[in-house]
Amino acid sequence: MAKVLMKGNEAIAEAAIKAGCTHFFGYPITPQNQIPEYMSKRMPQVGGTFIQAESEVSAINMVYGAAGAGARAMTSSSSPGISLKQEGISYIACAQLPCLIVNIIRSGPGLGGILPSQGDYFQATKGGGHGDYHLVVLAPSSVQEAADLVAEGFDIADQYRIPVMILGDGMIGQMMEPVEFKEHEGRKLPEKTWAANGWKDKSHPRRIVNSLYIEAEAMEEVNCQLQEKYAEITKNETRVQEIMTDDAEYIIAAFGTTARIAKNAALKAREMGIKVGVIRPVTLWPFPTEAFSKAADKAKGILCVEMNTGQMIEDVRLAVNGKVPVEFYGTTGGFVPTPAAVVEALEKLKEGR
Amino acid sequence: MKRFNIFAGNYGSGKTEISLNTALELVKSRKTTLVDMDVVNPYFRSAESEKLLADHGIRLIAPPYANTNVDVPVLSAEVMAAFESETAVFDAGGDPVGAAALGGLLAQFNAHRDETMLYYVVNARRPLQQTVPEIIEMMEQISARIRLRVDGLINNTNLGRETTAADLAHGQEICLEVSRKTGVPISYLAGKPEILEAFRPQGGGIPEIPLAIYTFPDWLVDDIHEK
Repeated sequence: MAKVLMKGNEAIAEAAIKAGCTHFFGYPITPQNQIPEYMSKRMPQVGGTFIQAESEVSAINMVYGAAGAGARAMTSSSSPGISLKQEGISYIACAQLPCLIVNIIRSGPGLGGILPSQGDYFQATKGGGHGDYHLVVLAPSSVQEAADLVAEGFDIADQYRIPVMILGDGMIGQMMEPVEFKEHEGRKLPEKTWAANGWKDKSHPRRIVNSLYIEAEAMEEVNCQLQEKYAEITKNETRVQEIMTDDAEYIIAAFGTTARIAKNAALKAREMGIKVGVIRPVTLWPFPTEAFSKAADKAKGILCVEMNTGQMIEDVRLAVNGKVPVEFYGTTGGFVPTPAAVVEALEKLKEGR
Repeated sequence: MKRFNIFAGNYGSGKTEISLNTALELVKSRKTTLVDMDVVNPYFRSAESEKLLADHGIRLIAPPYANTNVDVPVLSAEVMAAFESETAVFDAGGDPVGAAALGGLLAQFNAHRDETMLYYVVNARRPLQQTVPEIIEMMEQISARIRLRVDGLINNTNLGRETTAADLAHGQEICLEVSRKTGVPISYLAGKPEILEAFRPQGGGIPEIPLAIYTFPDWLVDDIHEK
């Protein structure tokens, strides 16, 4: 198929349709509006369902229902809207249902603003809603990767029966880049023998989708199942990209579009004679702990660059476990870090300032 | 070019780059105003190039909340001043709703209709805008909301940094068909100078708008994602 020039938001929506998503439920909020807009046009063309819900709370509960019935379902929103969805996300995680949730982050906290941010890292990776659960969190750094990770995300969701989140900063949603929709091979997925889609001929036991456990033993059993699942996902699905790390004396840790700025900064630093590499987590949960731990055995220091006041840095520091200094450079308010500012922060790290 | 030039088209057609480049060309001979009429697109817009325009002495009239954290689709009353300038470029919103803002200026445009051109920019490498019927439908919707007839097409078919002359050639075939069906002539070819040069032998002498790219930051140029 010929390449097209797409906004990240459009690419995410088209990729979902190509991946067999049949149900989209959402509510508008900038900077992710092109996702529901695109879905409202395309879903009727492919016989799918698009619903603009009356609120984000309704939208996520519609996803809960559709996923419980076995449909490939998704929702998308931006930061404040994702906050509203948290109760539903926790229910879906507990009920062990597959779905895709897209968060195109805007600046916050509060109603915040429409400009890009990575301020929802904590919310995405540390729960967000209540209880002991995780989402698989995928962080694309380009429009092409956003499209690819949507297809992958739906498969991961189905394979492990887990909600998957695509976490993009506003830049990923709004920028336009060439995209190619390749034939997605897809994983061999188990049949949805748990889907509550009618009792038909009563040939199987009743299927019940639930997140309420009155007895302690049953609740504990669910938690044990979830933890086993999370361990398996951590083993199988952790993804990370390393750029120029072989001889690197300093490492920049960055995700999403910030990783592209980091690569530019690393190249500039190399021109100045500082050997810098980049480690980019593609999965923010599970976090690529090992890559950072190994890098810290060779490198002299790590600079974490984020469009927030320092969130992923906590996971980097845990991974590095005090072996080398881990410093931070970040921007907020909608400002995007410049390569020059990152180089300056690297020089400070190098000089121990 | 005429005194008032409106660039309309769907998202990603390249209206903003064409508007900026045209204003920078026009200002060499006339006092120029650039009006950012986009009330729907939050990022990558004319108003972001405030400094570039100021450095070249181009007056920018933009929605008062453009480039801020506020998502309020309003236009400045200053827009009316554009009709008193020697020449003005209007950068429209990228869909029928966004283009409606221009419809509010119908009386002004009608008063200067002989001096006004409405161009429709086509990028046939955009999703849902790749076939002749899709392009004509969008063009008619946008034109209806602007409340002016489209005077000319601009073929700006591109794939961003991966554009080749083949993309422009593909767009030209589509534009010729759009032109045949609607009676709207192809007024310009737009693209980076090297693309225009490579396509020129097939271009049939259609005037060109060479583009320097202003809206993308350098660090976005390469994709680090490894397949």
